[in-house]
Amino acid sequence: MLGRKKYWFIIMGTILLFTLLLGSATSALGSTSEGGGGAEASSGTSGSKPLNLVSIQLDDGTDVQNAGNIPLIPQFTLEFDKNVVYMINWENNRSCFHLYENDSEVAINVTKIDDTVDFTKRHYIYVQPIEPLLPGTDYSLYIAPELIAKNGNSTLGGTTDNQGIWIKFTTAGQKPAAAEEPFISKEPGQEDNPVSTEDSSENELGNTETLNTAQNSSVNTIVQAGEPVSDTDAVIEQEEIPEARVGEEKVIEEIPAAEEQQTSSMSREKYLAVLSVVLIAGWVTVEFYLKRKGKKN
Amino acid sequence: MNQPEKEELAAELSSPLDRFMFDLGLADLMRLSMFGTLIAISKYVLRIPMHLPGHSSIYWMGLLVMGKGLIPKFGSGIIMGLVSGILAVVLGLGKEGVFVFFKYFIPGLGLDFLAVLFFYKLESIWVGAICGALISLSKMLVNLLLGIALNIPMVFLAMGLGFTSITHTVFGAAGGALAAIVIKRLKPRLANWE
Amino acid sequence: MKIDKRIVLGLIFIVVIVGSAFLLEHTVKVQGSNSARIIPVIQNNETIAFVDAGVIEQLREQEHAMREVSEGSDNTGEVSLEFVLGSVGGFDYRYIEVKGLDDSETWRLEQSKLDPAIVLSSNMSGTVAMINSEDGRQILIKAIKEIHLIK
Repeated sequence: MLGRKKYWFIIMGTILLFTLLLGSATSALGSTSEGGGGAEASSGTSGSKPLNLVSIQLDDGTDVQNAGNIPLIPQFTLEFDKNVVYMINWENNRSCFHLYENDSEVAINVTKIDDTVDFTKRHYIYVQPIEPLLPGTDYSLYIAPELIAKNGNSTLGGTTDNQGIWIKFTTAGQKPAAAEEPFISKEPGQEDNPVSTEDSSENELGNTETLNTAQNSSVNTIVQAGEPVSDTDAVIEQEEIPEARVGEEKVIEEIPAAEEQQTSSMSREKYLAVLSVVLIAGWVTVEFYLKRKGKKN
Repeated sequence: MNQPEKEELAAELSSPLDRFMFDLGLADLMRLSMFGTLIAISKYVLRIPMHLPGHSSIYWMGLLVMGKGLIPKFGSGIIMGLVSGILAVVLGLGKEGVFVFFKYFIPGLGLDFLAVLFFYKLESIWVGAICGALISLSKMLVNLLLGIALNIPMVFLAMGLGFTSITHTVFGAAGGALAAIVIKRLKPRLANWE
Repeated sequence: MKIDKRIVLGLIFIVVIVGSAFLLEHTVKVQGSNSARIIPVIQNNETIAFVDAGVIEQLREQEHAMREVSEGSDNTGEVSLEFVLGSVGGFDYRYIEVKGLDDSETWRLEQSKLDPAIVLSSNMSGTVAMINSEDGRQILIKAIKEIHLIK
């Protein structure tokens, strides 16, 4: 009897030790540190817990997704399915929002209600242009894939193939006559990259990466300067990337890396799931073996 | 497998003579391991679009109470907590690393003592709901203690704690009550489990 | 004791735990504010966030990591006031007023003149000090009690 108990403790101890070691290795590989995320926190570990945009609405509840009559001074309320206002990540998250009128960036205020004050508003981010928008004009709100949730693992890139989200809308009223002229005239040799990237290059930290990430995606429709968006309905498009995003080569190398990270994260999870099943099966087998042995004795 | 072997295996599984941990039979241990695995896997797989803290308590605490109600012996909660805790560590659930084990283990441990206090009447909706709520709150307290141990700023731990405690209570109670209904219906059909 | 009584006791116990959670939250807020261990950031007479020494430490690491990426700088110093105000979600303000635990300590500056050299550093007592890191590490406020953002 004592012998069997001894067996029990040895087996349980081994299993515990093994899983704890494996667990610590997993957490070291998979998660980022609580606040000192920095670069790691920016990229996050896409996969296991996705971060999604739930809705984007105006103050009066109008869904921006299907509206073409947006007021000139709108306040967009973006709802996500995780805490995106966490103080430690806020400087990164704030820089993930960009409003474009064709290729030129429009200044916006990105605000939040901090979760240390109102815990119920932790999924909401508010975006408002600083200056009134032009009437009858197409705009695109871009949310970069680096947007990260409080858990430090979930990024928007994890649910958008590292492309971020494009939300198009049209403002109310008639477009001013002057504004209908092409924004930038094409010059010979500019066909491949017809849009000025001046504004893009002025982006804050992390945006360069975002913009170039978009460039590498499978582009179906391209929004070009001076070319009105064909579909006036505001649509969340994850694959439409304006060529304004064409940028330096640095980030081009980072996209396969991000995909690789995602793939490796998924394969690691599969591996761990299989391992856990094997572990439990092993436990049961040991139980049977001990029982049989005990009976024989 | 021929008939004598089958009979031998059935006898082995139902034999009250061979007891393992907490005087539980092998069959019970296997069932409890299954419940523990279900808890960890459900937490890993299920994604309920309910953006409230502690909403996973509905199925987490529900499964715990159900396992305890169907195998009403001291130690069953501990086994479920142990198995789900180990799996949580292996699957890398939560950002607490190895310490996530305690988040799964403590509710199981607490349930073992609560069930004794309520005479193992987990098929009663009131008892199920109270046990579910209390073990859900115990999970929240473990979270708080782990936060303190891991040096997470007090501002992040304390702000919103009241609201979090309410949601944990509500979802835990809901899970426990649902489990009580299931236990009530299942228990008579599982009379030959022993 | 009958099961009914135990059910009532269980319910009371739940109420006590939930109440304690609210009490703890309130106590941390009030006592922390009084002892300057928790600093409210106030804009338009509304508290927009709470910070403490732990948060300052994490923000320091975050700012350092972001700077390392953007500028290649390996500065491991304290977190700038500018970064903290950005992180708590402060915007659309003209003046910053920082009040110390000692009522006589008040520091006011225009937002446009906000210098990255003005940094926050956590003290051993769990409070947070404001320092001018360039001016011979001159201590501007010994223990910050409140930060006001004024339009």
